[in-house]
Amino acid sequence: MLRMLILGLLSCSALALGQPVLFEKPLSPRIANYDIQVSLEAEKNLLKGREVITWYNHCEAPLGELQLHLYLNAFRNSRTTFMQESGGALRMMQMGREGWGYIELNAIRLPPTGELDPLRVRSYQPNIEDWATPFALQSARDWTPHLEFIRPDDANPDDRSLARLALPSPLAPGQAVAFEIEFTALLPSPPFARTGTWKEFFFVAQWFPKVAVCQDGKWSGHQFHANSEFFADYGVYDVRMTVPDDFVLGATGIESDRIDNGDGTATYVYHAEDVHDFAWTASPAFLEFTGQAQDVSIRALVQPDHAAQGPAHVEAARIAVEYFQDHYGDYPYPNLTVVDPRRGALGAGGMEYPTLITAGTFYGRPEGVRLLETVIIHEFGHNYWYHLLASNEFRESWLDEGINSYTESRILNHAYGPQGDQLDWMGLKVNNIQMHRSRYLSLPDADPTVRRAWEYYNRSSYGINSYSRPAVFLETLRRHLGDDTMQRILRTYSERWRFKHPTSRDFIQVAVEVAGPDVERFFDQALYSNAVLDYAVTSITNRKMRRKGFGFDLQIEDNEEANGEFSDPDDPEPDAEGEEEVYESEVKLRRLGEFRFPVELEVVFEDGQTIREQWEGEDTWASFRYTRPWPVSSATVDPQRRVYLDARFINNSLTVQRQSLGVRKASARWMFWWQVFLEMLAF
Amino acid sequence: MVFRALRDGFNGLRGQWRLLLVYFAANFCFALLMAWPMNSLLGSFAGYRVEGARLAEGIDFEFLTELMEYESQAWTALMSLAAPVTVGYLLFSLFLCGGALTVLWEGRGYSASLFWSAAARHFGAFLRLALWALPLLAVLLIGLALINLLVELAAGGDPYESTTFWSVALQAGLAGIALLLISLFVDYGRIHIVTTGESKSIRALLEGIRFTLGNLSRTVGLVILLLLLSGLAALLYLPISNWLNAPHSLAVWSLILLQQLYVLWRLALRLTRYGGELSLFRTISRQDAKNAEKKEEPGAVDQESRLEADQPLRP
Ligand SMILES: [Zn+2]
Repeated sequence: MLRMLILGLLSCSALALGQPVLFEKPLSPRIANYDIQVSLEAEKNLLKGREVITWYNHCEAPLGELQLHLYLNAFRNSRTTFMQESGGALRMMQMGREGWGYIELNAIRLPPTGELDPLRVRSYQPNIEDWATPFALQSARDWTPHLEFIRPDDANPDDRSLARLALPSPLAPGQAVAFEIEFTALLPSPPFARTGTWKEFFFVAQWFPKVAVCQDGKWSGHQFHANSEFFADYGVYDVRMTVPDDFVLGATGIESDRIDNGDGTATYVYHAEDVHDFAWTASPAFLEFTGQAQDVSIRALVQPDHAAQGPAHVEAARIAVEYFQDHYGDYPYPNLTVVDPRRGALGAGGMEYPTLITAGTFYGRPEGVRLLETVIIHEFGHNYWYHLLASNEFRESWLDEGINSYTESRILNHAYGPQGDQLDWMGLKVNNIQMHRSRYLSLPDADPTVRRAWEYYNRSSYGINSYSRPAVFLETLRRHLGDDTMQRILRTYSERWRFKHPTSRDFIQVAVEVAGPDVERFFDQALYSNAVLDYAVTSITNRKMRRKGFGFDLQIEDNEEANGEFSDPDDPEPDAEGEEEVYESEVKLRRLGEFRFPVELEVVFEDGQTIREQWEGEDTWASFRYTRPWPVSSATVDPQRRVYLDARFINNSLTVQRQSLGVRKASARWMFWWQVFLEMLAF
Repeated sequence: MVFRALRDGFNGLRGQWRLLLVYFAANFCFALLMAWPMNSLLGSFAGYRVEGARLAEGIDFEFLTELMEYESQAWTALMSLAAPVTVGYLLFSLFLCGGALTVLWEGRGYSASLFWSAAARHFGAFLRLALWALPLLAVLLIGLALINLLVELAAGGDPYESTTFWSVALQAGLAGIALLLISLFVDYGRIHIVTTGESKSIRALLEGIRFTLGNLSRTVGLVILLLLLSGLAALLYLPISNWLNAPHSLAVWSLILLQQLYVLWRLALRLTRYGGELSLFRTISRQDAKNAEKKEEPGAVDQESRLEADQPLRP
C-alpha cells in the first residue's frame, strides 16, 4: 500500500519534472531505480559517474545490508573469478596493459538520518545543479567505509565483482533506501566479454554499481562469471551521458533531451521505465538506419564498414519484433536499438540489453549466410526471455538462452525456411535447429540441463545445456503437441510471468496447465536429468508359413532372421496345390536411452502396405507381430522425426534389403570430388 | 597461332586413347583409395537403414552429423589417408608427365615401352624442376606480403573492412595469376628437357621462364582457352547432374557415368594442354630459328634444320 502510494507520487513527480512517462501504470515493481550522470573521457577510456540509487525492500524481511554488483571489476586482473573461469587471461595478455577494466567507488553517501525518503531524492534529480548536493551535503553521511567485497560463489580473494554495503539500521519490508555513489570506471579495450571500447567506438555495459536481487528474505548476489551475466530487479532509469559532441549515442530507453554544453561535449538524457539494466553506446562513426515494426520504432547504428547492410539490420529486427508480438505477447517498449560493433571490437557483439542489442557482421557477407539475421533475432528474443521475464541466469540459464534458442530457430524457419534458414550457400542448406541438434549431440549427457552456471562439466556443456539441448527438446515438444499448443505455452508464460523472476517450476506449471499433465514428466527428464533419448528398431524377422486347406494350422517353412545379417526373402507365390503362403513377421524395438517418450512405429510390407503402431516407450523393449501374405521390408520408429531429441536417427530404422543404391551414389559422389580435386592440384 | 596450337593439341590426342586411359586409370585408382573406405563406412553405417536409401536423394545434414559424431574414428582414419593419397598422386602424375610429353612430341602414337621408359627417364629431372620451382612460390609469398605492407602503408593499421576484403581479393587474384605462370614455367621447362635432352633442371626452368615470358600472350592465351573449355564443361555438368539427381537406379548410374565423363574430359584437356604447348614450342622455335638465320651470315648453322634433324619424325 505504501509502495503504491510512493510509486504513484513518483510518476507524478517525474511528470512534473519534465521526464517523459512511458507507462501511466507501472508495468513492474520498480524496485531498483537509478539516477545517473556520467561523463566519458574518450581518450582515456574512462567514465566518471555519480548515481543515486533508490531501492525498495520487497524482500519480505528486514535487511541489514545491500549487495552491489561491480561487474567491471571482473576485468581487473588475471585472477578474478571471471578471468580464471574464462581462461581469458590469455586473450587479455594480447590486449596489453591498457586492456584491463575496473570500477572504483570513490564515495558512498547516505542521506542524513531520518531522511530515507525516496521522493526527496528523486526530486533533486532533474536539476543538474542539485547533483552537487543530492543529499544536502552538509548533513550527508559518508558511508564509504561500510563497503566490503564478498565472494559467496567461490571465496576467491582476488575477485571484487560483488560487494556488501551495511545499512545504518535494518530496512523494513516496504521501506526504501536511497544513497549516492561516486565512481570511476575504466573500460576494457578492446571490448572483451560484452563491454568495452576500441578506438572511437564505445560499448558501455555492466558499468555502474548495481543492486543485486533479494528474494525470499535472502540476497542472491553473484560474482561475475564467465558463463552468465544477468539477474536484476526492474526500475526506472534516468541517465545523463556526457560525450564528445560529435558522437552519435544510443542507449536503453528513449532519448528525452540532448544538451549542447558548448565545451565540445554534449549531454544525452535517456529515460527508461520497467527495465532491469541500462547499456549505452557512442561513436562518431555510426550511420543511422531506421524502420518500423508494428508499434515499435527501430534504429540501427551501423559501422561505415557495413553501410550496405544497414537495411538488413533493420529488416531482421522487424522480423523478430513482429514475430514475437504476433506469437508471444506484447513488447511494451516504444523502440529498439540495434548496434553494430566496430571492426576489432567484436567482443561487444551479439549481446542483449533492455531495448538495446548488439549484432555483428562482416563486409562482403553472402546473402545466404544468415549470421547477422540470426544474431539480431536471437538478441531481440532476449528482450522477452531475459528482460521481460527476469529469470535467474546464474541458476537456470535455459529459461533465457534455451527458450530463446528455440524461438530463434522458429523465427528463422518462419522467415527463411523451410530449408536452409540458417545457411543457404553454394548448395548447402542447413536449418538453425539442425545446428543446435548437431551441437547437442557432441556432448549430450555430461549434465542435467538445470545447474548453476559455473558448475557444469565444462564450458561446452554449459553452452549445450543452456542453448542447444533446450532448443532441441522444446522443438520435440512442439512437434509432439503441435504449433498452436506450443505457442500458447510460451505466450501464457510470457504474459503471466513478465516483470517477475520465474523459475523452471513456474514454466512447467504453465506448460501443464496448457498442454496437460503429461508434459511434467517430459520436463522432469529434460531439465533435471542427463537422460538421452534413443529409440531403435533392432530386429526384423520374417518366417514363411503354409496355410493348409481350411484348417489354419500354420507350419514354419523357413526362417529368415533379419538381425544385422539379412537374406532376401523369396517372393511368395501361390502354391500349385492351392496352399496359401503367409509370413509371420516380428519387429522389435528397444529403448537404448534413459529418456522415455511415446513413439510411433511404421512397418512397411513388401507389397508397399504400411502399418502404424504406437509405443509408449516405457519398457526397455517392445515387439510387434504380424501374419500377412507379404514379409516386412522395413520398420521405422518415429518416421516423421517428431521426436527430434532422439540422439540417433540412424538406428531408428531397419531394412531387410541392403540399400546399395544410396550408398553407391554417395560413395561415387565422394569419389568424384576426390577425382576432380586431385586433378586440379596435379601439375 | 594459339588456336592452331589448341587444334594441334586436340589432333595430337586423336588416336592416343591409351594415353588418356593411363591418365584416367591413375586418377581413378588414387581417388578409389579414398572412396573405397568411404563406401564400406557408409555401408556399415547405413547399409540396412532407411537413411541408406535416402542417400540416393541426397545427403541430409542430420545424417552427416551422426556420421561424423558416431563414426568419428573411422572418419579420422579416412582423413589421415588424404595427405598421402594427394602427395602420391602428385608424384605419380609428375612421373606420367614425362611419358605423355614424349609420346605427344614423338607423334608416333602410344607405345607402352616408349611411354613408361620416357616417364622413368625424365622423372628425376622433372622432380628437380618442381623443387626448383619452390623458390618461385617463396617469391610469390613475399610478393603477397609486400602487397599487404603497401595496403597497410596506404590505409594505416586499421583499414576499413572493405579495404581488407578487396586487398585479399586482389592478392588471391594475383596469386592465381602467379601460380598459372609458375605452372607454365614448369611446363615449358619440362618440354625443354624432353625436346633437347637437357640434363640441368635449373637451366630447363630458366628456359621455361624465358619461353613463357618471351611469348606471354600465346602461352597464357592457350591456357586461358583451355580453362574456358574446362569451365564450359563444368557449366554443362552442373545442370545435367542436378537433373539426374533422382533416387532410382537408372538416374544414379547415369550420374556416375556423367561424373566419370567429366573427369575424362578434364584429363583430356590436360593432355591437350601438353600437346598444345608442344605445338606452340615447336612453331615458335622454328620461327626463332628462321629469324636467327636471316640475321646470321649465310653458312651459319641452320638451327631449324638441326631441330628438324633432331626430331625427324614430326608429322
Ligand atoms: Zn543469448
